[in-house]
Amino acid sequence: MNSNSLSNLLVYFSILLSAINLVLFSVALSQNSKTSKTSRIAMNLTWLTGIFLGLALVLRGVAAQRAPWGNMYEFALASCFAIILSFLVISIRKDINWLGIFVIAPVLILLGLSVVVLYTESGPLVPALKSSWLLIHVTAAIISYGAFSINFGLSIIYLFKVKNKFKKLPSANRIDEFSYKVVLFAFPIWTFAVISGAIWAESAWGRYWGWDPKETWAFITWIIYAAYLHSRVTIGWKGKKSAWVGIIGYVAIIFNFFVINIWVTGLHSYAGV
Amino acid sequence: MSKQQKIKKQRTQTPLPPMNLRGFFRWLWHQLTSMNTALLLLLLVALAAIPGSILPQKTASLLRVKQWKENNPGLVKIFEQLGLFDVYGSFWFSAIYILLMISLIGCVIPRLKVYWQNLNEIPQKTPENITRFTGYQKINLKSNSYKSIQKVLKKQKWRLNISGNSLTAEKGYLREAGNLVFHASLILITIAVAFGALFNYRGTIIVKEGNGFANNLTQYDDFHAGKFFKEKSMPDFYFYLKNFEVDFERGLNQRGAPRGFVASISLENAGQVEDVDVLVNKPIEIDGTKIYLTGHGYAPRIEVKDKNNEIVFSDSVTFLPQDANFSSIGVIKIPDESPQIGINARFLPTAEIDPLNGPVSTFPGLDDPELFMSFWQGDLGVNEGTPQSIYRLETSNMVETGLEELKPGQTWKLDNGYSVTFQNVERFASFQISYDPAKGFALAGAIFAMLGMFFGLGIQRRRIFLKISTKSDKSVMELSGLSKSATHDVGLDINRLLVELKLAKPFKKDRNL
Repeated sequence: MNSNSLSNLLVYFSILLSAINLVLFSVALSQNSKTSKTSRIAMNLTWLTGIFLGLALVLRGVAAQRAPWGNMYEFALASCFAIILSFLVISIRKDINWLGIFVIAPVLILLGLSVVVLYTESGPLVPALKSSWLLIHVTAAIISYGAFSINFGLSIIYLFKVKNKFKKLPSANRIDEFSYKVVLFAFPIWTFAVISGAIWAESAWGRYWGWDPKETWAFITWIIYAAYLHSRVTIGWKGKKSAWVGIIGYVAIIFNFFVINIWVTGLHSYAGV
Repeated sequence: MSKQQKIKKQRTQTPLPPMNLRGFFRWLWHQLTSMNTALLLLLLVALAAIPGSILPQKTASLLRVKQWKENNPGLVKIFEQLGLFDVYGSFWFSAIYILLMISLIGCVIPRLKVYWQNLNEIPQKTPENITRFTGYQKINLKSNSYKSIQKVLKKQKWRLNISGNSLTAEKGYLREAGNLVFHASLILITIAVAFGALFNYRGTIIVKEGNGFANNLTQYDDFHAGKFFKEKSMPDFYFYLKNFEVDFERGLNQRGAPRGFVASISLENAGQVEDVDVLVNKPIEIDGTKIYLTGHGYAPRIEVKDKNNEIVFSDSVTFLPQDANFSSIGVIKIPDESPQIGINARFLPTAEIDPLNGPVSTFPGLDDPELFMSFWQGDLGVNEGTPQSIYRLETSNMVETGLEELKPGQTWKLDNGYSVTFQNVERFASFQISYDPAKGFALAGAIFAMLGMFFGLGIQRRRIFLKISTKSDKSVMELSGLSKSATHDVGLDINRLLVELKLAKPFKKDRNL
C-alpha cells in the first residue's frame, strides 16, 4: 500500500472515530457528572483521532515530498487537525470535555466534505505554490483557523449557557473570558498569516496587496476580530455581543474557505477540485 | 456602578454640539475620535470591502468586467456610478478609510502624549482601604522582612511607590507602549500604501518567443502608474525571450495541471548582457524594478496570401487562453485589403470533438494542435477611431466567406482566391513589471505592528498593594491587588510574590476553566 492510500485509510478511520465521538460527547453532555466516564473515553478517542489525522497529513507530505497543504483537500485536512490539536492542547491544562461536541461536529462535517467533494490524489505542486512561504504562510493560517474554530464553539456554547442550558458547564462568565483568551491567541497569528501572505504576494505577483478576493476576505476577517478585541477592551462589550461578533468572524472564515476558493475566480484558485 | 453602566451613562451624557463654530469642530473631532465611531468605521470598512470581492474589478481584470456588463446590461449604469467595478478606488471606500485613519490618529496622538509625560510615572499611593481589592489577605511576618519584600518586588521588575509602611507595586507599562507602536505602525503602513500609489508603476507585457522588450511606455500592453510617476525614472533595460518552457502533469491525477514554467531571457542592462531564467515565485530585480513571470499562452504563426500569391499577412498571433486546457481565441485583422479581411480563430492545443460541445481542448500541451477559423470580409470598423480590442472582431458590417480547420503545416484555399496557412505554433509569456518605492516602509510597518501587538496583547497592567503594621514585636502584612484587564488574575502575581518569600505554596493549576 502506498503512502497516499494509507493516508486515505487513516482519514476514513478518523471519520469513523469522530462519528463515534460525536455520540459519546453528546451522551456525556446529557449526563449529570462533570467528567463522566463517557467523556473520558471520548477524550481518549479524540487523541487517537488527532494522531490518525496527524499521520494522514505526514503521509500526504511524504507521498508528494512537500508540505501537505498544497490544495484544498489537504488544507481542509490540516485545518481539521489544527482544530483537534487546539482542543487537545487546551485539554492538557483545563477540563474542557464539555466543549468536545462543538469541536467534533465541525471536524466531522469538514472531513466528510473533504473526502466527498474536495478529494484530490496527492501530487506535486503547481508552480505558483513552489515557495518556502507555503510552509510559513499556510501554517500560520491553519493554526489560527484552528483556534478561531474553538472560539466559535465557545461562542455557541455561551449563547446556550445564558439561556440556562448545560447547567453543569462552567459559568457563562468563565466561558466568555476563555473565548476572549482564545482570540487573544489566534489574532496575532492571523495577523502574521496575512503579513506573510503579503510578503509572498510581493515575490510572486509583483504587489504586496491587490484586493484579490481571498486577500479581501482575510482583511475582512482581520477587521472583525480586531473589532472583537477593541469592543471588549474599550467599550466593555462582552458575553452575548462578543459571542455574536465571534460567530460573524467565523462566518467570514468559512466564506473565505469555501465560497471564495471554489466559486470566485482569483489568484488563490488552487482548489484542485 | 459597574463599568458598563458607567459607559452607558457617559454615552447618554454626550453634550450637544455648541453653537459657535470652534465649539462645533471640537465637538466633531471628539465624536470622530471616539471609540464608538472607530468601531463603526471598522465595521463599515469590512462591509465596504465585500462587493469588490464578489463583483469583477477593473484593477484585476478588465475582460471580466466587460463580460459581466454584457450579461447584466440593466445594472451597468447604476453600478458604474457607484464605482462598484473599482470598489477600492471608489470615493466611498476612500472616505471610510480616510475617516478611519483620522480616527486612529486622533486616538494615538493624545495617548502618545500621555505616555510620554508619564514615562517615568511612579504608581499611585496605596489606598487607605485595601481590603476591597482582589485576593486580600493578612500574613504574619518575621520582624525585618519588609526590606526583603521590596528586594523581591524589584527583582520581579515591579515599579514601586513606597511610603512608610505601605507600598504600591505596578507593572505592565509596556502594554500601552505595545498598543501605541501597533497603532502607529498601522498609520505607517497606510502612508506607505498611499505613497507607493503615487510613485509606483506596474505594467504587463506579452512577449512571444524570439521577440524582445525594451522598458519604455510604448512597449506595454497595459500600464498603471501613480500621479507622480516620471517616465525617465524607469530603468533602461532590454530583454529578449529566447525560450519559454512549460511542463504539464501527464499522469491521470490532476492531469493538465502546470508543473513548471521557465522563461529563459537574455537581459541587457547598463551595457551588460546576461542570460537569466525568470520563474514563477522567482522574479528578477533591476534597480528596484522587478520582472515577474505571470502567465503564458500560444501564438500560432499564420500566413495569408491573396489571389496573386502575395503575402498580405504573416506573423505569430497572440491567442487569449480561455480555460485550463488552453482553448484560446485570437483574431487577425487585415485592414489594407479591400474589402477588409478579418479572421476569427479558435486554437486548441489538444483538439478533440466532444459530441455535446463540439471541438474542445482536452490537454494544455501541444499534443494535437488544431486551428478553427472563420474568414470574414467587409468593414472591420477600425477606421472610425474608436479603440477596438485586438481579441475581438466587429462582424456587424462583415460577411462570413468561409470556415475551416487546420493542423500545423496545412493550407486552406478559399473560393475568393485567398489562402491561409497555419505554419506552426509558438509560445508567448506574459510578464508583469512593477516598481513600488514605498514597499520597504510597508514591510517595516508590518513588522512593528506585529511586535507592538505582541506586547499590547500579551502584557497586562496590574498592581499589588501592600501594608505592614507592627504591634509590639509582631508584624502583619496585608496585601491585595488590582488587574486592569478582565482576563488577568492578579492573585497569581500575589502568589508568585509570596512563593518567592517562602510564605505560600504555589497555586495548584486549576483544571476548571
